[in-house]
This record gives sequence, structure tokens and C-alpha cells, in this order.
Amino acid sequence: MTEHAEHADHHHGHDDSPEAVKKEIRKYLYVFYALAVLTGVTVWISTFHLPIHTAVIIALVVAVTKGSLVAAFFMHLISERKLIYAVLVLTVFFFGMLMWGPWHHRYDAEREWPGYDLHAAKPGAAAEPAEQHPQQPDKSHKSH
Amino acid sequence: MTAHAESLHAVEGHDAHHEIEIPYTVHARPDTGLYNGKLGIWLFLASEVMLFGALFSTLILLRTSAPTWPRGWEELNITLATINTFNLIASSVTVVLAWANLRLGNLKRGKLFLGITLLCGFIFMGIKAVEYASKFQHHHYPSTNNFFATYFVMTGLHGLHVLGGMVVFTYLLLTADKWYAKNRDQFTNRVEVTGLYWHFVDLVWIFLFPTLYLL
Repeated sequence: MTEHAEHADHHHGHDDSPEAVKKEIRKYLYVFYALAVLTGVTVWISTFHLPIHTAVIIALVVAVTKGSLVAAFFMHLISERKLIYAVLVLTVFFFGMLMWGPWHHRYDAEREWPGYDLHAAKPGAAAEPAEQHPQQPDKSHKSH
Repeated sequence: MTAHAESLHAVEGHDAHHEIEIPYTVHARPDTGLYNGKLGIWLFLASEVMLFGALFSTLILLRTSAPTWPRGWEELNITLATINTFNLIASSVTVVLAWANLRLGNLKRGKLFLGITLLCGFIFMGIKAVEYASKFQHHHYPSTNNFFATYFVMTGLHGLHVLGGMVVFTYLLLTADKWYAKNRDQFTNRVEVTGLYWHFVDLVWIFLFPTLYLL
């Protein structure tokens, strides 16, 4: 937390002096411009129809940057109380688990079902792995 | 009158017209360093992260396991979604501007920005309605395939959140004069807390937009 924020108005944790608020308003407008530019960039990049892996990485980097700007400045997490950080550390951890789960499972599918080709983008290749290999059920799920 | 004195006053029943005042709506609680509403909204938002997280998790599972999956631009209207992205980002700015103006003591401008935010909400839902109508016209329903199932569930739940925010903004606008005169700091905090929720709705869209439309 910045020294400035610590000396902030104890009513609601923000400095309510007109100078400070006007400075904040300018900051909000800069963040808005940055978000607008990044939105334009991500839409523009999508027009190149890049391969999915590259597209995902670029789109995620842009989205995380935009999300961080919103969280840091609009939600003023950049100068927030420790208790909120503690809540968010837990949230980020469990959110990470949620994202890791299916990503991890994807590689399980490739390893456990040799005939299952994730990259076969042909309509006819839509094999149902569980039906093809009933003797090798997915260990991470009780049923399909 | 302090919160403590007021609640005692009401509990003792000397004045039935006085409501019991909820403590720490303005002043920070000494142990948390926050007024209660703010901690409350952050705990709620943490649960919301998990709610949307579960849906994003499901999307990753379905998409990475699917032999075929359409690219967003093949099925969805990027122009409309881009307009909505700008619209939602703009509404995030107007809600912080409303809060900043209330802190400056300018109720009129505060209400103006709250009104613009609400208007942005209406525009968002209007564009969403056009999008949904066009999908239905082409006989694309949640039951059509996993792509449309995830599209409708995720944008639908997000839309419900936008609608929820609009209800709260309407309430804030209708009660602004009364609350601002009665307890300026409390009303300002209400706007801050609603703003935090609104930014979260914006944040979810920032991830939904590329995930569904651009990839």
C-alpha cells in the first residue's frame, strides 16, 4: 500500500480531497484509452486468423493485460487493504486449479487413448474414445 | 448520531420511527480496515470468480477434447461483440466517474454518470438481444452443439449479471437524492460497491469476448 493511501480518509479508505479525486479521474481516462486500444488490437489480430495455439496465447496476453488494468485501477486493487489481497490469493489459487484441471485432462486423453487424435479436424474423425476403448475408462471420472 | 447510539436508541424503543442502523457502512471496521459492504462485495466477487471459472473450465475441457470446434468468427458476429466491448468498458469508466463526482460532492454529475452507466447496460442488452435473435433465426440453439451450448450459457449468465447491475443502478438513481441528503458517505460507498460488481462484470466480458468470438 502506498504511503498516500495509508493517510487516506478513514471514512472509506480514499483521499477525498478535490485534487486527489481529479487526479484519479485523469487516471481512469488513461486506463479507458488503454483498454480501448487493446480491444482494437485484439480484434485486429483476430482478423489474421492465426493458428489456434498462437491465437490463444496472444488473446490471453491481451485479455490478462486488460483485466489487470480494470482490477488494478477501476477496482483500485493497486492500493487495497491486506484482507482483500488475502481473499484474492485464495481465489486465484482455486481458479488456477479450475483451469489446470481440464488442461491436464487433455493430455490424459491423448496418452490413454492412442487412437484419439485431438488435432484431426475432420468431421469424420469424431471418434468417441470411451466407446472405442471401454476397457480403458477415464480414471479421473466415475462415469461418462 | 453514532451507529452505536442510534442502534441502542432504536432497540430501547424510544422512537419507533428510527431504524436500527447497520454498523460500519461508512467507517472502517478496526479489525478489517474496511467498511463491511466492501469486504462483503469482495467475498461475493470471489465466489463469482469460481462460478464463471467453472464455466471457463468446462469450455476448455469441451474444446480441447472436441475433434472439431468452430472458430468464433465462423459463427458469431464480431462487429456487434466489439461494439459491446467498447460499450461495457465505457460503462466501467462512467461508474467510477459517478463515484468520483459523488466524492467531490457533485450529486448532479454523479447521477448523470450513473444514468449513462445504466444506458450502457440497456445498449449492451439490446445488442445481445439482436445477436440472440439472429442465432435463433439461423436455428442455432443451446442444444445445437457444444459450441452454442457454451456460447449461450456463458453469455446468458453474463447477461443476467448485466441485468442485475442495471436493477441496482436503477435503485441507486431512484433513491439517490434521499440517501445523499441522509448520509452522503453511505450512498457514495454504495455506488463504490456497485461499481466493483460492475467492473467484475466488465472483467468477465474481457475474457468472454476473445474466448468465444475471436479464437
